[in-house]
Amino acid sequence: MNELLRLENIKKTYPSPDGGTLEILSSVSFSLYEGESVAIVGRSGSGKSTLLSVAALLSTPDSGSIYYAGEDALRLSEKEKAALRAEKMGFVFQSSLLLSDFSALENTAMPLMINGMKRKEAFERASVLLDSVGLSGRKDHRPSSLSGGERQRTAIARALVSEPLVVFADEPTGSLDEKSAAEAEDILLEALRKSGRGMVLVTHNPDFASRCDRVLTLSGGVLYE
Amino acid sequence: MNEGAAYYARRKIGEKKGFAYFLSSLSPLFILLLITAALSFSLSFIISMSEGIDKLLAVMGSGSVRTLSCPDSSLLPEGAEISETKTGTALLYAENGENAVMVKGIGEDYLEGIRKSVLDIEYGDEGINPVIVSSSLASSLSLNPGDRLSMLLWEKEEGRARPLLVTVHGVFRSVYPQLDKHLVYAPIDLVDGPSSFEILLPEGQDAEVLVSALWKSGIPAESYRTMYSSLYQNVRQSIGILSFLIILVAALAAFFSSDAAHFYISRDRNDIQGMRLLGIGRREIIGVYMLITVSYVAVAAVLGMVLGIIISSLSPSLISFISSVSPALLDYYITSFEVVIPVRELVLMLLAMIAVSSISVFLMLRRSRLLP
Repeated sequence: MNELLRLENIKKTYPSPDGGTLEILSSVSFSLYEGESVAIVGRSGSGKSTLLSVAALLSTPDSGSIYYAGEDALRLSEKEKAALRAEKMGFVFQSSLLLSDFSALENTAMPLMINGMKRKEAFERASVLLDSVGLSGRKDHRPSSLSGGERQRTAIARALVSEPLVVFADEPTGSLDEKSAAEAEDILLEALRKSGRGMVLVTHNPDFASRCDRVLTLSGGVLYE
Repeated sequence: MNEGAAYYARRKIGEKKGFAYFLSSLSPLFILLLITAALSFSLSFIISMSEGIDKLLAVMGSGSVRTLSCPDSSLLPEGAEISETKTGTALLYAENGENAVMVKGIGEDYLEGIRKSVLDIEYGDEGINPVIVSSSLASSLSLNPGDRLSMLLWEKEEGRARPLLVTVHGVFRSVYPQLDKHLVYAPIDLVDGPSSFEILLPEGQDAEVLVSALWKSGIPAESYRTMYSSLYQNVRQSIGILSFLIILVAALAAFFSSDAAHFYISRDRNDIQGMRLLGIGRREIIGVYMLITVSYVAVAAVLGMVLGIIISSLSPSLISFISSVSPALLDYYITSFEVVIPVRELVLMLLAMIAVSSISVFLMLRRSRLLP
């Protein structure tokens, strides 16, 4: 299997209120392969979201290496990192982070347009993806008129539309009711299984975690299998 | 800017949005709109007033160009009016007072043509030694057309004063009391002394060009700007300083646009974070929010300018009204003038606002830590 993502000895600290430093990640390493889903679990405040942020190149570690398809991502410029996020990553967050003034269709098409695709073609592809997640009749609705479950399905469609290598999901079902959460989990895992993409999932939900290929536990700044 | 950033910017500016969205987006720029209106009005008013005074200096003074000998008509541009005049000083004695005046001896055609359009003359019976006095003089001496009064005309060459009985044949209004309050027009043969020739040029003709041409032909001449150099320079300097100050104030006022930048960036904070996740780069975020802010600043500024120009077009009526109620208040202002739109100054003002608002967007984004 091809390796999509590899983290090696990642260390990340933040300044603490007393003037010292707080070590969130001390030496984190893991790899993600094609078609694989990895769940990262741990107590609140253990650094799961920080790990996700570092892996997605949204924040820079103090030390360590990150490779995407064999390429050293930490050597890239900000512009190149942004391009890598646009082309090779998809994101699903607890709060969906959809653009408030844009419809479900526009939100889903946006990653494609950022990558340079023309509007018409981007909308066509986005429309197909929204159909696949069961939102055929809700494409022109803004996030404020969508239910929580519908918003998360739009976020999932948006995360998958540009055919990323890796999908990062941070508590994607955290704010959903049981039924909507189950639907969102099914859609996400099925889409990944069909496409062969990798997923790094951060979740408190042990049931969702157990549906992934591997479960890693983050504790004391270290990742355990 | 990539397709996604451009689409985002267009939608945020208001594409496919209602009028309510447009108004709410414009709301942080309301003060800027009012300031721009005030600045545009001031600029238009000052420049219009100054150009009106400039025009009157030529008409009310000694023409656009004055010479001591009559030039050949071939040297003059089409539409130019040439008149022989003589000037003297006198004392006017009326029933209600007396006044020292400047007497200008003129021919029959002098108050026709361009001057007729500028001077508003109310005529009465001609009578003996008919003179035409200014409205400010008529007001101070309580004179009406047809009134008779005494004039003691100074004859410089004879070295004596000649008493005359004159009739107020007419009263003229020049809309600039500062120039006309001591001016009386009289028949040219009434006034003693050497003649001079006043050349009045139609609009668009440069007096300095004619002066230069006359000198080349051996005819000494001077333009009204030289004749009234101190007054003219004062007017020009005032315009220059005021225009500079107005542009400076406009640039400072443009800092209100930093409030607008803050408004748009705060309003869209979550969306900016969302766009960052989707891979939008630093330059695109800056470009998008510069475009959004500058678009709304430009709309507010242009609306303000239009409002200011509309108000300035009403200013001649306002000035006339104030003049009719309290003439002394407007001694140094002309009370009727053509409104000029100072396009160059307004464009400079708009560019200054756009430049400042662009800089404020960049600083605001950096401060908010929304840039990757």
